[in-house]
Amino acid sequence: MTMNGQAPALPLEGIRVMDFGQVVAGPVLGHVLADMGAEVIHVSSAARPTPDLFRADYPAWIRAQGLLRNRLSVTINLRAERGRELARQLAAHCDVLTENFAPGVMARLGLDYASLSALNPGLVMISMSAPGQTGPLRDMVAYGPAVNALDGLYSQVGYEDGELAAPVSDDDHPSGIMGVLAVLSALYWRAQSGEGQYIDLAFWEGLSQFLGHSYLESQLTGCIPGPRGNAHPSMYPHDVYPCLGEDAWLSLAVGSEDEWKALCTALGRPHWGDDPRFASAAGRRAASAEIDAWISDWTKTRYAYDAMAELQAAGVAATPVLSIPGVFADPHDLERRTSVNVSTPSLDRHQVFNGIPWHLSRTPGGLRLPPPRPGEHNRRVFVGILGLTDEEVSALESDGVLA
Amino acid sequence: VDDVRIGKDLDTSPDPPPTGPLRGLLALELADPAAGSEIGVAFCGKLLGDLGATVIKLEPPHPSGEAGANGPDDLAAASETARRLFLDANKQSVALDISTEAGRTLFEGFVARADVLAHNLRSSDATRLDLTAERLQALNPRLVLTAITPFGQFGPYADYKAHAINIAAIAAILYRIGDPRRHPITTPFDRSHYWGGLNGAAATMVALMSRLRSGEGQVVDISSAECMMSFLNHSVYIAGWLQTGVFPTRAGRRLRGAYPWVIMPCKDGHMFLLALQEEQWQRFLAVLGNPEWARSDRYKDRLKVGHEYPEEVDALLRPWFAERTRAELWELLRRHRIPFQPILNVREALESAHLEERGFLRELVHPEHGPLRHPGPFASFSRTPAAIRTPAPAPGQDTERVSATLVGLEEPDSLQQDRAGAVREEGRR
Repeated sequence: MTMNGQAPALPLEGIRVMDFGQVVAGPVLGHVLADMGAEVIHVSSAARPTPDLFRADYPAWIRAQGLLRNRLSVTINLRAERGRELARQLAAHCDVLTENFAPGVMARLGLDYASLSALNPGLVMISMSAPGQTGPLRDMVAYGPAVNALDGLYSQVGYEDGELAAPVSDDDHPSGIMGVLAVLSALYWRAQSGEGQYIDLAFWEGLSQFLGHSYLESQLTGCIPGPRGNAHPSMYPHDVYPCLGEDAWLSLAVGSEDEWKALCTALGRPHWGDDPRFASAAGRRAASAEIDAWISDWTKTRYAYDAMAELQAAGVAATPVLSIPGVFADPHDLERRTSVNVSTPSLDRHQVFNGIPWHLSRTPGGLRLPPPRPGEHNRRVFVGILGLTDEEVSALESDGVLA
Repeated sequence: VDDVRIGKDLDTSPDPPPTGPLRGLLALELADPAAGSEIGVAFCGKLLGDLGATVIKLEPPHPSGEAGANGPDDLAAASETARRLFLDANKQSVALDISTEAGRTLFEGFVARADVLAHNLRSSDATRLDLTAERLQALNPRLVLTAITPFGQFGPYADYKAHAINIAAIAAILYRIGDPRRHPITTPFDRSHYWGGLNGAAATMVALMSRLRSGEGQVVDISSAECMMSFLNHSVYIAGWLQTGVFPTRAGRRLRGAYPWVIMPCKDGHMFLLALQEEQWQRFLAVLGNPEWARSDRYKDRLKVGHEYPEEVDALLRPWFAERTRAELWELLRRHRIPFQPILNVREALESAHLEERGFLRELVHPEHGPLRHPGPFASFSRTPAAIRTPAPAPGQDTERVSATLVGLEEPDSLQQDRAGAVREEGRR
């Protein structure tokens, strides 16, 4: 690593990561580190195919191609002792090792932190799982959404009449980002101390962070919250309103006195802005039927985008309820490159990838490599890093060790 | 040029001292209520603080937050208090009015010493308040300046306002939640802001890693909406659309895809049924005693069932679930490695024996509100444990002490040595 005083455009350049990520959370962690310039070596094996969890549903290639970009790929058969030995040797040359197998799998393979840190004391290793590596439910099988059933989220998503609704599964992705935060914090510590360490990230505990405020609220009030529709404890209005078009909605929320006055002016009833009945969220909630009918009458005659423009110009927080195709056509998202079109010879069709949602002024990172074919970098890694010969790598490949 | 501090730092933390991997790091949190929600910034600060950073919350002169502006209301007040108790644990609070000359001087003194300043200013707010990146970086070129706003610092919506529901709406979250015959509903708890805060903290660490080598800080521009969208491309929500061109709308208690992905009523509440692997579904059918219907061709293709007539299988399963409680079901299904989980309310979630044994739930005694159980840090570190150490401060309670330590005193010798001291270069063995 050079120390020439110039920041590289890739902030994590020089960090080498061995990535056993599977499904979503692990690969998200790897792809963010890779986008930011780390050399991320993804390990897979034809001999122990990662359960292709979506084989019955969506094609795995869609998922894999976006998540595995910027990676190197090696194939190691971990059922073979020689494969496990090579994995250990490679880990000795890495700064970080990430995995999200079920708790206990890495230990059975001799790839646990105790074994690896004996070879490489500076290693930062992270294990991610739903229950965490310890505790009575350590062997529980649970996918990301199910963790949000356990942590109290699902019990609160639904209509005021008690009808529950399945939330969007926004669980594995933030879990992967928490992995990024944990790994980089440990690397930052290592820069001071030289010490590596082991991180146990339980998705259950990670996702509970998003509910901390609800846990404390229930202790303060003694109440157990249930589904609440779009109601917000300290805002009113705070809802969606119908617009022109099929299943078209505008979200609108009033978070302050100024915003209420702005709404009243924009919708042609400025006197309501000074009406003492409506001076607080509670007061407005008490007149919800009157207020909601007034807003709906206005939104129903407009397209959601036009309503947003009109209300935002007046200082009111309002946005359209976009569908996913809508996100890909939104002018703001296009300008920020929230998603990018990728077309390279190695992809069998045109692809839409996530952009890099973090805009760092000096070291933005970048999309450099298309997703690899499995084992594409066996030579680069085992010859270049471990010092095997080309012939040895070929022999290991044909023996089913690097496969 | 290396900036990691060793040993004593500008630590103004009360006891117990931080033990996490970021101890020694100084982060400031500045939220302007006019700019929109402060929750994203507060969550970013919380994560850094739990990891051991010294986090100083700069409090504006008037009550911050949406409840204050909306007038008194018991429901709102409890909610705001709870949010503060959770998000501000481990922090110190300094009252500071940057519109006054004294406040400005103090603020600039803090900025000169800080590693990180997290804020929620839109670029127009920053200009109005004379807090532009150029201005702040001139005070401290090593500063990592993290802006967490709904739409980010550039783009056609950069000056727009958005609360959490508005962010989730434009990020296509609402569109998928709720009954198809009714209106869309949001995910609760201001979750969109938490997305922004989490991404802000992780991106801040990227900038700090970069600074280890360059010695230079930088601007980190985080849009909560953009972060929330960033998971869509590899999610099941988009995969089917890319493949078929058909984008499914909300589907009530289920997600349209291979059966089951559904909320199922049982004797004392609901279970959440999700089985991604065929073996898991087969093990479940075995627990049911391999019923006749399961052998019928109509119910063998779980993808077809999930897309075309999931209600039929719901109806076949309902009586079996209706006879059993969540606890019975959970115990039985777990024994057979079937990943169906009970839907727990927040009180039940806080009573988990599993989390208890892991030491996740921690009691902190707040001087005003008494003992409260807090969720612990998001991850367990073997060598540098993250921790919830001190309850949320009263607004401004640390003003004098922190100001004296950071600005009023000579730079301690230990700090000068730390800054000059050579530190192990980050690199590969």
